[in-house]
Amino acid sequence: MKGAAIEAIGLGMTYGRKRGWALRDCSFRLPTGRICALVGPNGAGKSTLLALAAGLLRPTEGTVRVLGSDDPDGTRARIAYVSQDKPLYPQLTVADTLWAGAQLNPAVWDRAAADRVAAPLPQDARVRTLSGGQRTRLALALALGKRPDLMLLDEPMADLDPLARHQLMGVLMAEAAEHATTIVMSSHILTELEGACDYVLLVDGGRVRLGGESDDIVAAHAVLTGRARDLAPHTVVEARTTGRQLTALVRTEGPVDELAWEVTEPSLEDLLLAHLRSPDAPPLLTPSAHVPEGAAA
Amino acid sequence: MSTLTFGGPVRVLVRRHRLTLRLAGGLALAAVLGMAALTLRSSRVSEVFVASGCRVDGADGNRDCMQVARNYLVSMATYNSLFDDVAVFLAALPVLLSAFVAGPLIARELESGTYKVSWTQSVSPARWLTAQLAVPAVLLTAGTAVLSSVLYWAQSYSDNPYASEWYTWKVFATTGTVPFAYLVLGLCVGALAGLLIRRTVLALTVSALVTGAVITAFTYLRGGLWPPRTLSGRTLNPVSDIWWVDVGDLDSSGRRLPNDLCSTAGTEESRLRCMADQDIVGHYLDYHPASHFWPLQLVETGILLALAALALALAFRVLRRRHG
Amino acid sequence: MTGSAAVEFRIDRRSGVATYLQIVHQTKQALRLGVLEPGDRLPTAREVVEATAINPNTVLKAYRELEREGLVEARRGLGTFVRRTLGSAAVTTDAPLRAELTDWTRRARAAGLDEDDVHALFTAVLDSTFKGDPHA
Repeated sequence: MKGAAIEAIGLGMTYGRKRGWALRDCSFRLPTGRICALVGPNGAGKSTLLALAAGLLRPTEGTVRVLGSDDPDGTRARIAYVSQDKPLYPQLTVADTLWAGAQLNPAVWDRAAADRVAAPLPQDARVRTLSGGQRTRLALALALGKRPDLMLLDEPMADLDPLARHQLMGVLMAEAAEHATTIVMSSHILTELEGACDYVLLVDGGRVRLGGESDDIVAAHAVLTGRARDLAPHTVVEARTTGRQLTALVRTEGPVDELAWEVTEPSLEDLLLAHLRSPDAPPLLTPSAHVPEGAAA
Repeated sequence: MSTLTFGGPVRVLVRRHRLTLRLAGGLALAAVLGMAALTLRSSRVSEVFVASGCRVDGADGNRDCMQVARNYLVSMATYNSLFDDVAVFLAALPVLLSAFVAGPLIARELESGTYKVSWTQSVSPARWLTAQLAVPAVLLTAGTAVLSSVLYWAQSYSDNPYASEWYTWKVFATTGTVPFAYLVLGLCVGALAGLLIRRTVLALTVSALVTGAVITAFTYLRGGLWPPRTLSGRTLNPVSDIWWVDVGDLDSSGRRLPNDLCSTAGTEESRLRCMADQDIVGHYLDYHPASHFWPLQLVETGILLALAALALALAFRVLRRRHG
Repeated sequence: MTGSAAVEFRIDRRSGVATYLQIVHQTKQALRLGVLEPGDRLPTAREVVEATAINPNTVLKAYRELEREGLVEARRGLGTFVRRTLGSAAVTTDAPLRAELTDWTRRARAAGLDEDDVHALFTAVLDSTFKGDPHA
C-alpha cells in the first residue's frame, strides 16, 4: 500500500466551548498522488480540516498525520497551503512576494516554477492593488515555488475567471503529472473540480460522509427506478415515490434484481447532493480511505 | 530543518516593515545629530559666560552681569528642557516598542490572516516569532545604546546649572542597564499581548498601557529595591548627591514618627511645644548614596528581565497551544 | 527529446462520456484517419493535463487502455508511441466501402431523412451489428 498524504484519526476541532465543533470524529486516509476534491456546503468544516493538515491549528482532539509525520515542523517545507482569503503581505510587490518565497523556503524554492505562474502579473504592483484573481495567481505561484509534495488549496478557483481557472487548473494538473504531487482542493461547487479530481472527501456538519476514489464511490451506488417496493438489502441514501414509481439512490449490497428495477449509474454530483439532502445516510469510506488498524499508535 | 537559518524570516520582516524602519532610523539619526549640535551650542554658551567673568549668583557684584546671567540661564534652561524631551522619548521607547510589536508586528498578522502565509512556508511559528522579536530587539537596543550615551555625554559635556540628580527618572531610567531591561520587557509584553488579543488596535493599546504601568510603578518602587542607609540624630547633616527616600522624627524611645506631626504648628514656640508633647527628640533620614546607583540598577534590571522572561515563555506557550 | 506530439485532445465535459474514453476514442479516430502513424509520440500526460486541466491519472488510464489493445507502447523515459495503425484502407477517401456509404447517405437524404435521423439510424444498426463485441 502506498503511503498516506493525510491520515486523520478521531480528529476534532472547536474554536471555543460555546461555538461547538467545527470538525468532529474525523477519521480518513488520503493516499499520496491523488487529486482530491474536498467538498461540502459552506461551514461544513472544509477550511478547518485544511488548516489542521497545514499545521496552522492544533487539533482539540485526535491527530492528523501529514506525509507520514505528526510533527508539522518536519513537514512544513513539503506542504503548500493556500487559504480561502488568499492572504499575502499587502505592502510587498509581486516581485517582492516571490523573493520572500525564496527567502522563506531556501532549501526547496524553485524560482522557475513560481515565475511561470506569476508571469502575467505586473511585477512591480503592490499586493494590495491586485484583483482577487491576481492574488489567487500569486498565492498559487508562491505555493508551486515550494515544489511541495502536498498542496492544500482552500477554494482555489473561487476568484478566477473561466479562462484563468482553466489555465491554472492545467498548471496544477501538470505539476501533479510531473511530480506525483498530492493535491487537495476544497470547493462547495463540485463541477469546478470534477474533471480534475480522482478522489473525493465529502465533509458535512463537521464529519466525513464519503471518502475514496470517485470511481469507486460512484460504483458503490446505483439509481433504481421501478414499482414501489422494499429496497432491502440495499442501503437507501435517498428515495422518492411518485405515484406507483419509486426512484431511489442506494448503496448496493450484493447484486441488484435487474428484472425488478431499472438500474442506472448516478453522476458523482447527484450522489453528493443526495447525501447532503439525507444527513442520516451512513458514511462510506472506500478501502483506500480507511485508516488502517493500529495507525493511532 | 537545520540548514534553515533565521536569515530568511529576518530579511522578509525587514522588507515588509521597510517604511517603519526608515522612519525610526531617520528619527534616531535626527535625534543624535540634534543633540550633538545642541551640546556644542550649549558648551559654547557656557564658555562665553565663563569668559565674561560674571557669576550666576550675582556674587561678582557687577550690575551689568545681571542681564548676562539671566540670558545665560534662559539659554541653558531651554537646552536642558530639550535634553529632557530626549530623556522622555528614551524612557517612552519601550512603550512604543511594546505597542509596535503587539499591534503592527504580531496582532495585525493574526488579524489580517497573513500568518497563514508566514507559517506555511518552511519556517515554523516559533521561529517566525523569534525573528519578529529579534529584529526590533537588536535595532532598538542599538538605538537606545546610542541615544543613551549621547544623552549622557551631552549632559556631562558642559557644566549645567540645571543638571538632574542621578536618582531622578530622567537619569536613572535612561542610563545604565535599566533602559535595556525596559526594552526587553516591552518587547515580551508586546509579543504576549499581540498573540493573546489578536486585534491590532486593542493589542497595541493594552500592551502600551501595561508597559507604561510597569515603568510608572517602578518609579515609585525603585527606592525600596536596595536597603537604604539611615542617618539619625538631633540634627541631620546630609551630604549632597543623595536620594532622600524617607525622612521623619524620632521619639525618645527611638520610635519613628511621621514627619508632619508638628508641621501645622504656626509659630516656633508652638512647634517646640508640639515636639515636646510628642516626645520628639530627633530626626531620621533613609537615603541612597550615589554608590547605590549600580545595586539599584542591577536589582531593577533583574526583576524586569524576570518579568520579561515570564511574558515570553507565556507567549511561546500560547503560540504552541493554539497552533501546534 | 523526441519532438512535439502528433495530436492534441479535446475534452468535452458535458458529453457524458467518461474522460478517459474520450481520449481513447480520439486516439483511435486519429489512427483511423491517418493523423497518427506508427512511431508517432502521443502527448505526455503533463502536456495533456496542462492543456485540458483534467486529472493526470485519467490520461494514464486512457494510455493503459490503448496499450492493452496493442495500439501504443510506453517507452520508459521517452513517452508513449504508436505501434500500429487502426482500421484499414476502408477509411480512406477512395475506398469502396466509403463510396458505398456515401452513396447510401445520399439516398437517405433524398428520402427525406435529416442528419439526426441518419445518425440515429446508423447508430442503431451499428449497435445491433456489433453487440457483444468487446472491441466495439
